[in-house]
Amino acid sequence: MKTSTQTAVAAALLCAIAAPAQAQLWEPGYSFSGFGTVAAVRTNTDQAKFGRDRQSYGGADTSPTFDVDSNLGLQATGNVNKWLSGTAQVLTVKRQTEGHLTTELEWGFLKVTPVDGLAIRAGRLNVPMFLVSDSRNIGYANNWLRAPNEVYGLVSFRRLQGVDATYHHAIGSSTLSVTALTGTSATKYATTNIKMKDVTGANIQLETEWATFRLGRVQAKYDTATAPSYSFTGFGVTVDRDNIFVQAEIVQKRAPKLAFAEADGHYVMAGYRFGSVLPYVYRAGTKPKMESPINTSGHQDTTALGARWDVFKSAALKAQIERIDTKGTKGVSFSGKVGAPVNAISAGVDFVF
Amino acid sequence: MTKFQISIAALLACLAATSQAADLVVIANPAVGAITKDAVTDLFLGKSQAFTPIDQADSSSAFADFYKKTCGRDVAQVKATWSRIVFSGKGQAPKQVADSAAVKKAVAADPKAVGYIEKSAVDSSVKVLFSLD
Repeated sequence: MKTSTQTAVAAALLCAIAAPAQAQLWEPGYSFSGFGTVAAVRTNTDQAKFGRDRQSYGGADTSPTFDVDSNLGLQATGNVNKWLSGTAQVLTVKRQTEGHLTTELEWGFLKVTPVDGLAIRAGRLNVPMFLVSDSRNIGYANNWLRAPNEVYGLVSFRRLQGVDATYHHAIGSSTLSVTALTGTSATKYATTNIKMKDVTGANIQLETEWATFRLGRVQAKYDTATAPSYSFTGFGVTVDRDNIFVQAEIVQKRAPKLAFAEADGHYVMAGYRFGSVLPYVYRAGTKPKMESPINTSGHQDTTALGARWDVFKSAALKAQIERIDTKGTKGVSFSGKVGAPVNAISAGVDFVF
Repeated sequence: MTKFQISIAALLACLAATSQAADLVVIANPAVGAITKDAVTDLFLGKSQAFTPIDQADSSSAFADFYKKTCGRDVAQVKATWSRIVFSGKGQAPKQVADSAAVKKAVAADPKAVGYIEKSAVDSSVKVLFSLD
């Protein structure tokens, strides 16, 4: 709790410091910006703790905690010239590995744009497994309070040490983006490290005036003696037209030699904008290929009801209630088995500066 | 009575400011060729890097009007879109300058610049692409 309070205070201070200096944000040469979330969540059970993104320790039970959803990101970008820039982003959040907040370099890359429409980045990047992989940590950029764990909690690695290349091509009023990537990935866990090698992937994204379609696939090998193969395939769509907001994704995780690691996940989210208030509902589900005690992804369904309220300039308030049914397993959101469906309630504020 | 008159004057001034800001034109450096409204929208939403967008302050009524009239999005939606682009390292938000005069100056100085200003502020240093009435 102490660290959560410190984050909240740090966030508030940063907002206060950054607000008058906002004009600096847009100067050419360099820019400095940030984002964060301060949010609390509690559930109605003490049988197990509720978390996101495979947080191994802590999490929420009948006592509310800020640990699950709160974070703070700081980013600096410098342009050397028209075609070369560098970006570094540090993120403070409670990760899957530690019982407290940690600050790590989330993005750190050099980017070259040799010709119009082509961007090549090298360094520390993210593996784009999902529709909003790249902005999943930025609460302000998303309408939900937290990404559905049934889809976003399925992956055991997210970081890419490597290179990606994206080509944008305009087709009428739409933009087609094709991304290819390669590299390695390492993720610390409580008792083990997950290392992946030969990570390759491709992403195709079509952005029209009011819809985004995204199809992607990532392949990799576990960096062990037998090097079992792994693949993650996802399709997603966002529709944001007039006051209607709809987003849906379906994903498949496959590891033929590690059947216990295989799972499917999906969600459908719908919302309607009433001025600055956007109430939404989503339904998400995941099912492992086989139920077993060592499963890292259990059976779980969630129905959530929430709202985003853009009440301040550069800050949005959010609240969400959800019912999580793990069919007696630990599902993908809990530290241990829970019997009956669990109710959770969350509230917080997302900001950018 | 004096207070009342001041209130009325203030109200009228507000209304005048609002209607003035609503009369926006999209301008470009004279070196820029013709650009469609769709292409301008793409430019200001980060979908295209073909030109250099010059924005007004996100607290201004010109900012709100411009995005509402080009892509039908309100200020919060535009800022959410840009936070997604900026914090995933994909791009940088348009440079924001203080007012129409500052936009005009920045557009006149950069052969690839595109911006939007109040119609009344137009002069020969920039060319008008289209009007947003």
